[in-house]
Amino acid sequence: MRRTFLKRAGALSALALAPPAWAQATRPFRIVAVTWRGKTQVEIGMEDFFGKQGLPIEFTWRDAAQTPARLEGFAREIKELRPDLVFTWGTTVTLGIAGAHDAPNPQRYVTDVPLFFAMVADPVGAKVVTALKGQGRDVTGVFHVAPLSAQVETMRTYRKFATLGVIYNAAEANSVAIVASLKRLAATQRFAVVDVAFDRDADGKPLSTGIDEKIAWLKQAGAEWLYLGPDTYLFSQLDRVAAAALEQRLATFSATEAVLNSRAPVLTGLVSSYYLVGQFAAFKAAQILQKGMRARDIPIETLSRYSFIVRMEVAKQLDILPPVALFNYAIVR
Amino acid sequence: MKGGAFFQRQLWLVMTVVMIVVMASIAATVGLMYRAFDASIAPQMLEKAKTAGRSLNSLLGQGATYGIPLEKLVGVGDLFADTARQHPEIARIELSLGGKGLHTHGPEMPAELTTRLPVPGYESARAELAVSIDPQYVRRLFEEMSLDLLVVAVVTLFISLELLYFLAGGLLADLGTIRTQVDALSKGAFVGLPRSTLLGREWSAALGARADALTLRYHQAVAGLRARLRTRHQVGRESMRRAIAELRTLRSRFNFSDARGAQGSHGAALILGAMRAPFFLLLLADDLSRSFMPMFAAGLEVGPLHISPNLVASLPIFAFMLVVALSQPVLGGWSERIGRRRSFLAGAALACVAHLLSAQANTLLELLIWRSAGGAAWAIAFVAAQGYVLDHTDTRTRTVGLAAFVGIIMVSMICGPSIGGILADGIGHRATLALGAALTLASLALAWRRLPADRAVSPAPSTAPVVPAVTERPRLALAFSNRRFLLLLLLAAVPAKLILIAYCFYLIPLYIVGVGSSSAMAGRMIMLYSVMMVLLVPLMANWVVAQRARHADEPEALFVAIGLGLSGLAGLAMALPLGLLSPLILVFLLGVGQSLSISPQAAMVAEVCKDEIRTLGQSAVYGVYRMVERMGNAIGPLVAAALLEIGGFQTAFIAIGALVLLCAALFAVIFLPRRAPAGAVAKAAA
Repeated sequence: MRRTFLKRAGALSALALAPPAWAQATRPFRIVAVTWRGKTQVEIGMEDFFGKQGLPIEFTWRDAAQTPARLEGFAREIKELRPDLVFTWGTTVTLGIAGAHDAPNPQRYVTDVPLFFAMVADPVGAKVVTALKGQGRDVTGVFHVAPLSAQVETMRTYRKFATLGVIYNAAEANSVAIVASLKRLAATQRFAVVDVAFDRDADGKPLSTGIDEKIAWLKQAGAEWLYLGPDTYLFSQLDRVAAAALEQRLATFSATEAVLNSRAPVLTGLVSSYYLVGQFAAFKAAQILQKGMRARDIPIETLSRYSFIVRMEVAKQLDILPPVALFNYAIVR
Repeated sequence: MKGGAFFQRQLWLVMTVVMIVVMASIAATVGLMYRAFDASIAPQMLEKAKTAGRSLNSLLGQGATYGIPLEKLVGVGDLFADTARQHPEIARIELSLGGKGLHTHGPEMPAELTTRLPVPGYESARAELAVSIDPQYVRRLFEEMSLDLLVVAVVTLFISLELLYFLAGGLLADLGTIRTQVDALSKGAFVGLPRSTLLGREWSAALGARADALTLRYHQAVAGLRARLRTRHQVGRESMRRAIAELRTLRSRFNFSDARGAQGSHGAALILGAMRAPFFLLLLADDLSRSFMPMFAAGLEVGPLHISPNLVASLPIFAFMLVVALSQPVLGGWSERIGRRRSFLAGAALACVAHLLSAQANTLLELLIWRSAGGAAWAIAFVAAQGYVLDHTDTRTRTVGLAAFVGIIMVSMICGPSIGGILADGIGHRATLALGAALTLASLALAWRRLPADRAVSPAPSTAPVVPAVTERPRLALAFSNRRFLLLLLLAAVPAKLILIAYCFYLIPLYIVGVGSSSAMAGRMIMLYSVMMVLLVPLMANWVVAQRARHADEPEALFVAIGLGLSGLAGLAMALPLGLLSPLILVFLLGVGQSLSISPQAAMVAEVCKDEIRTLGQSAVYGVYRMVERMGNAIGPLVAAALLEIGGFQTAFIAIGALVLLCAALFAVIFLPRRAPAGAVAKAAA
């Protein structure tokens, strides 16, 4: 009912050439936003965008506090509240609220309210949607990881290499897919990939044992870079992994901004700014709320620009300084 | 028609004088500018070097803000090399610390050519950046400019000649009409043929003679009729009516004074003149992109499949040449059916669209589609223009007509690549392609206004074409039934075209730009080849005829073998370590070789295929010959791309050269007459 009404309102307002006026006359739009570890720059970028657009939004904030068990309750609450739109942060939260596309369960998941997400590294690989365009369900959003080839090229401009090391959690489908993609890229671009997975217990849950040895092994296998992908378990062990890499004088490269913002001594990365990701996600939300578009008709995209971040303190500790020409375009911290 | 010859001589005299004056003034201007410039430019160049030094310093200085010691900075050598590459006027960059050199790029330069800047943030360590300018840079700049001016002068000369033909075409035709009417007055009842023509004095003379003959025959017919009437006065009305009918027939056949007939015949000169400019513009539009098409293609998006850039660069030429080779035989009949005017207009319109869309192609696929369309357009216009010549000339004038036709093609080959190269360096590849679209649009407009509708009367006044007409579809089986013909095709015709297109249209443009020179230089090389062809082909053809007359044997095979051998040798010139002189030698040898072999080779077809020509006709045999030859055009760039991919430029040049040399040797062994001196075989094989 409300969706058709909104659509008409949108059409009307488009005719009147005064888009926000109609919306402002009615009550604000309601969004339930579910975060993973509290508010980040993503949400700040999002709020700023709505503010600048003069789009009145009434947020209901829910935080999973890195506990997946809480998500079921949030989903139930969303079904009762029936907001105009749901926002989710990250792969775990998005799957916990909307469910995977190949396991529909309308009782457990929210399926009748449109949803937009941010920070899902690989929406197709994680089975949030079947494709980035024509996704077939009312889910849209913004992912934040630069294309692998661009990441590899960035490593190369910092320091040429023949062998790339990767550490990942073999229980995360997304991470396994990235390692496979890296190997495919390596075949065409003539470099080698050496990889190790975290130990796992009998149930398949990852363990933090033997991390130092694994990093040392990668170094011995000839790795000149250690690639840190968008891997959830890796984030939880970041301090240890980065310290071990520093110990081995292994340059570390990250695909996500949060890793470079952490205390862990990670050298560099090609990342999306969380703030800009939030703004882009909000733009997509505005298309749904203001223009009455269906979420399924809005393609899932990533930013076209990335920041090349170099942490000089880590570079000095590693004694792997960036080439001078890089000062022209990298953000040195 | 002595007036025409006089006019021609005067024209050439004036053109030569104009050319000499233009050349001299260019030389003088460049010389004066060089002296003036040399004195004033050094300080400006030093200023430019200082700017480059400052931007380097701002990077180096950032190292200080991050607390990195100067000697620990990474990638300084690469940075200097990059900067020197971007600034051709910089000869040397040096970073020194406390008087000791830390990083240097380039050879030592005198102090007056060097600017010195302290590196910010490292002043306490006495860090200094020294940037030196290259005194050769200004000289190189002027060399480039002089060459460009020379090219422009040559092109101007040829284009003004074309313009003159274009203007004179209309003028002469008008004069011809006036003369016709004067003649008509003097001859009473008859209106004679126009005597002025673009095609040459001989034709006019022939037409004049023909008109006189007709007049005579008419008078004879009338006299005969009178005699018959006198002697057979008693014969009934029946025979009288027959006689009148006969008279009428004669009148309708030979009277040129009625409006339609007059337009049709004196139009011949006008039509060929009218065809000239649109056809030239159309060819020019295409030749503009010759010097940079491989470079342009290599820069486009390929798609998900991984295709090597070298192959990508060769594909547009391949597509173009393939379409031309395959479509031309088919087009002959079509063009005749729908009419020359309509087919030319269709070709020009298609070419315009093809150029415009090539200019904005973003992917290889788009470019290939539009280049294929361009090839079809080229072939359509070519066949239509050739058709005009064949339709409006007879056995006696056809050679002159076709020479004019080939002349247009050669002039375009001289002007297009060279000017296109300069334009590409100046306004970019896409804008030059778009300019080609504008030229084809002009061609379309001119053709629309000037090309006459096709004659309703039966096409060619002659029955047996001297030159292969394009109406017959070639029967490829022909090539396989005659072993000597097949060998002629595979050992001479295809290799000659293969090496030409592989070198001139593909390898040279890529190589010249690859060694750091410009598209303009590539254009100049192609132009050199075309100029040589224009100068040498008639000379060589006459020489062959002279040889033939003197020795009363058939020297064609020897000429083909030597010509092919020279073309092959041309490729080996790239083994010489002479820089840009090597391709120059290559183009020179290729020009000599090709001009030697082209006409004897075509003549050999007639000899090798004597029987086939008797049974199938000349056009069928030459149709096959041209088509197979053009397949050589198409595969040339592919072969070159494959060799380039495997072994780089030198390998590609030399391998193709060696291949053609081998073909020449085999050809010599098979075709040289037994009685030819043994030395000739060895000479050709060398």
